[in-house]
Amino acid sequence: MAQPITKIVHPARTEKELQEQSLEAILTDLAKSGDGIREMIRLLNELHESGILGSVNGLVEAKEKVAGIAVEQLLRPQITNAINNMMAAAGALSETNPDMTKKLMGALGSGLEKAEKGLAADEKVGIFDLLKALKDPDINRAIGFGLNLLKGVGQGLKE
Amino acid sequence: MENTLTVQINGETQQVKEGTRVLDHLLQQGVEHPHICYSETLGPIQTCDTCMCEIDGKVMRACSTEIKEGMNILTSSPTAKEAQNEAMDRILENHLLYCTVCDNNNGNCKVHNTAELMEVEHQERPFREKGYEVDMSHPFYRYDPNQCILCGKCVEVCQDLQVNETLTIDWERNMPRVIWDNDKSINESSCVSCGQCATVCPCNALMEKSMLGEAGFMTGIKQDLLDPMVDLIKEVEPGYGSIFAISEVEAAMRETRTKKTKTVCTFCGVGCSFEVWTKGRKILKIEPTEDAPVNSISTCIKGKFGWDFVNSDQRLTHPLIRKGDEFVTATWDEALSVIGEKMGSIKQQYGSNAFGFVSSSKTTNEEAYLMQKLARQIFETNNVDNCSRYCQSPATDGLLSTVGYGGDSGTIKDIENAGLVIIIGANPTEGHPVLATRVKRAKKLRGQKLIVSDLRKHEMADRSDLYLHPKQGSDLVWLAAVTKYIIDQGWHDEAFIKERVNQYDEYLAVLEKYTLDYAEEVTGLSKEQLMEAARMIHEADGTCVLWGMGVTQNIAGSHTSAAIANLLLATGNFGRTGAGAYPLRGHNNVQGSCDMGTLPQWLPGNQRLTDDAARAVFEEAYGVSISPDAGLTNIEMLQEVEKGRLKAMYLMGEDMAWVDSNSNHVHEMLSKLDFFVVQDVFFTKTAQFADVVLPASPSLEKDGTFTNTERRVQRLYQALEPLEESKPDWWIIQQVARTMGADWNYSHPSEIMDEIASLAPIFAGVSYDRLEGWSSLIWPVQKDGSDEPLLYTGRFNFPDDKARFSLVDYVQPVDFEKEFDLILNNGRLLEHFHEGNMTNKSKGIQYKLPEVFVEVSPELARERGMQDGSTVRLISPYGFIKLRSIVTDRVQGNELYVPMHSVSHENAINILTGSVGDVRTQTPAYKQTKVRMEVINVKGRTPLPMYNPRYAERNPQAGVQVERKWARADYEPIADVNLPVGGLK
Repeated sequence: MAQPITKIVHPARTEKELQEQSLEAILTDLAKSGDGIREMIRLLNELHESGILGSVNGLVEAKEKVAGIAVEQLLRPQITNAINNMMAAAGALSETNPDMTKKLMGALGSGLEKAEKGLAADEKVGIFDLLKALKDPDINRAIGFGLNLLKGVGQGLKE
Repeated sequence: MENTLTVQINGETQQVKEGTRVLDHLLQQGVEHPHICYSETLGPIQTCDTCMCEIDGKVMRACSTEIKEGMNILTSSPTAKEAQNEAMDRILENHLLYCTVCDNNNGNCKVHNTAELMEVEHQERPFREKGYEVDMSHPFYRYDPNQCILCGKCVEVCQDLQVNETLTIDWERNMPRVIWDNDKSINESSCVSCGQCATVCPCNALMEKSMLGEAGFMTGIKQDLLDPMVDLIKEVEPGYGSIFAISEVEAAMRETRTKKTKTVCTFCGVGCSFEVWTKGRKILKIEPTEDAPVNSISTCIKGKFGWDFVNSDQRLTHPLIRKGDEFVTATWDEALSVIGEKMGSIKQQYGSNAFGFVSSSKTTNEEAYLMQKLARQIFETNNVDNCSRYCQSPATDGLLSTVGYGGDSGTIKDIENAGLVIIIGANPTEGHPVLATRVKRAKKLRGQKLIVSDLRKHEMADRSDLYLHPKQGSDLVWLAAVTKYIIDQGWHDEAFIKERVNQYDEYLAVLEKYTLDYAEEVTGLSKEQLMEAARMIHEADGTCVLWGMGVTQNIAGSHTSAAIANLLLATGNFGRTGAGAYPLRGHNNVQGSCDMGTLPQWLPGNQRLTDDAARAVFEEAYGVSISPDAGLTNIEMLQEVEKGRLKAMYLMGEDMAWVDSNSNHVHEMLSKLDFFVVQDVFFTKTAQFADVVLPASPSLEKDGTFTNTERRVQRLYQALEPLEESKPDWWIIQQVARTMGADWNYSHPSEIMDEIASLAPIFAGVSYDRLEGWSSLIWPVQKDGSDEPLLYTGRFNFPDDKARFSLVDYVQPVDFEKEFDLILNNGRLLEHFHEGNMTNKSKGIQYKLPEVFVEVSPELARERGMQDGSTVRLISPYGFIKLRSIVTDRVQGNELYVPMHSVSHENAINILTGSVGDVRTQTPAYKQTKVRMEVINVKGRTPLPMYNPRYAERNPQAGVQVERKWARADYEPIADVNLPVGGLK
């Protein structure tokens, strides 16, 4: 004869027994991945000693606040403008012919070198020198480049 | 005849089958062409406009344009591209791309993927909100109008696939949106929570609430941080390319964490399959797919949202052993050794027939098979049965005696394609919801005819062309009378009968008395109704009969089932598509548990115990002799307990104490057992009587196969680890067998299936490899793997290949004393499953349908002075229950209806039902119960919350109605051709 019963007794397993049970499971996992664990400990020590771990912990603990602050900062018009500028600049750059950019950068370099030498010589430049310089093919090329550049920018501004 | 057309596609000459649409062709060719609103299931609904092509110089939709000879189709000409981009721009005006912090960023977001495919970098029209609140009112899903792109896929599924007809798009208002009914909150609408709208939504506008804040790595962020992050993305307006890149990385990260497992639903016999998405033990969502062979993208509330029970804190997690008047948790070793000791000594003392084994219609085929093997091999008894004894045995019996196979004649496709569907004593919109959608869809889109015979005017009855309300238990009479009338009119299929059916003359003699006059007298149906039914069958191109427990749970349910087969045989409705007999199996594996031989007179593979050759095969395999004499049914087992001859029972996955009829009697019998083992997921009422309770794992925690109502075998894969010490049933049975000294060594259910295939010819070709993923097999399966979705095309399953008319007669319903003046009908409601101990763990389901009640007709309510919420006591000769009432015209006159979803002593239906059963199969006549009613309190709270969909009105219309969008004054056409696609999709 078995009357229906609803009482279920869980044998009072002590806190210690439960702890031992979960410890045992963890130990099995640890034993299975000894190498990895040892490496992990080395890395942890490094991070701890260098203080990185501490600051990361702090950041993580305050993650919502920090993220809130960061996003709020990012949302300031100056910053969104800056991001937009950067992205626009990045976009413009990516459209420019890289060969031309290379040439220009090279030219700038040699120009700077020359200019530095001139500066060291401490030469005075008069009106006449300026006119004479226009006849120099290198200077002429640079001025032509500059004028065309200005024209291009002007056209761009008109659109 | 299919002709081949020659067309130019992007300058290349291609051959295309006539009747193919451009988009279908492109997708078949593996061309990645933009499209959002189109899907194979729904067809071209033409709302998103992203699939535009340039066809013979015109801008036209790829989805809706049928390819014609000589067409010149350009999929990405500048004109086509411009049209596509314009369409996408209009979509992005409605949808903000915050993909990385969106829970729908799981690699399958259609809007995201299409925008990325189109290499959209910027949008012309800035995003703007529509000015509506997010609707969070429903327990299972939400609608965010501000993310809604108005593609109307949700409307399309609700109107034309699920056919619940709740959702529409209000195209005429200034800012169109999806609305529920006439713009109610979702929760108060007629929505039945099937979840299909959320399944098909191509973005995050409609989402399962279980996904919110859970699916992504960054989506759990609180709103006050999320909003500024979304704002930031808006402010900096990066090119979308970079947004997509980041969100793709995040989606890839999710892939590693979200586990997607194919499973098969356990909430009815339809056999829906889908993916379950899990994160650890958390169930993120159910994700249906068009690959699923039965249901495609369809689900019901239970399959889509009813899985909370798996993680319920009420799960059994350790074996329990009865000690005095309490259960003590034990280890598996302890529990098994108690079982071994007790069952061993009972076997020694009383022999094999002192044991009874009860298997489950919810466990897998492999588990059912092992249960009968445990009974037959280890305990050497045929005393093994399963709970289909309580529901479907009469249907099986009726088919076995006429056409030879105890299963559905065809598949859900045949039901869909039938000219006429007759539903008798079944309520498929609630009991088999996804199957019902196919009938509703065929009716709505194609004009399929529908006859419903039922006491209750449920949804299908409401939708029927002919609703029959016969007197309780009299279906056989009208079926026979209609058959006779058809034959008298010469509308029967004489050639079919002559060639393929035996016992015609004898049958005609039996039919003699079933005149229309006699039927009118016995059933209460009018002659006109009967003649109309006959005419509809005669005129239909194929008739399918679907039946359920309104037929089977009667004193002669097996006779009525045979009468159904007779009608179909007489009219030649077997062995052809769109026709046949379809008993609707109620649980996920009713079919399979019977196929596996957990029956007292059948061996696995539906082989009779009396078949000497078949028995010899099992005797050799099992190394024991097997008696040809039938064992005990569930019902007989309890009778033997009463006589003191059956001493021990082993029961798996069945709450017999509430599910068998006449509960008080069952409880008494169970308490008389010497030894009782119960194996279940929960601590059921039945388990309270046990000596040892074993914790089992539900379907999501194991591998295996189920066989659905179509005879379709499908695999389920393990999605979660078994909870704590619970174990899959096959593992448990194996341990019990080993404890009893057996040498069983199955390491995976696939090995059990291999054994089944080797012993049961109709499973000869079944293997796990052939059932991989979404593949399925419909038995009988030949060794080479060919299966048989449609039975009886060549032969009926008898030695002479011929069917036979059944010659059984009408049996009058059970008699009751006069004081029991009300007929008590009982059965299911959509939201809950069986006695409810799985679905009642779902908060959302409990919220929508918290308790059982009694439905009372308006006439009876007036007569007894009752109203919604009145508390009554129902008293039968076997017991009494107390519950509150709902006044509804779903029931009429003196007929009551009580749902079966209760595990409470206060209102469980089977406290009232009696012990009389079907004359051939002993299935209890649950439906033949009469009661008297006492009103305890007239006034009270209604037991059905006002936000239950049963109160709301549906809003039928044909699909999403894109033409109303086109008619808007502010609509500028993108395509040169805008034509609604009429008719079938």
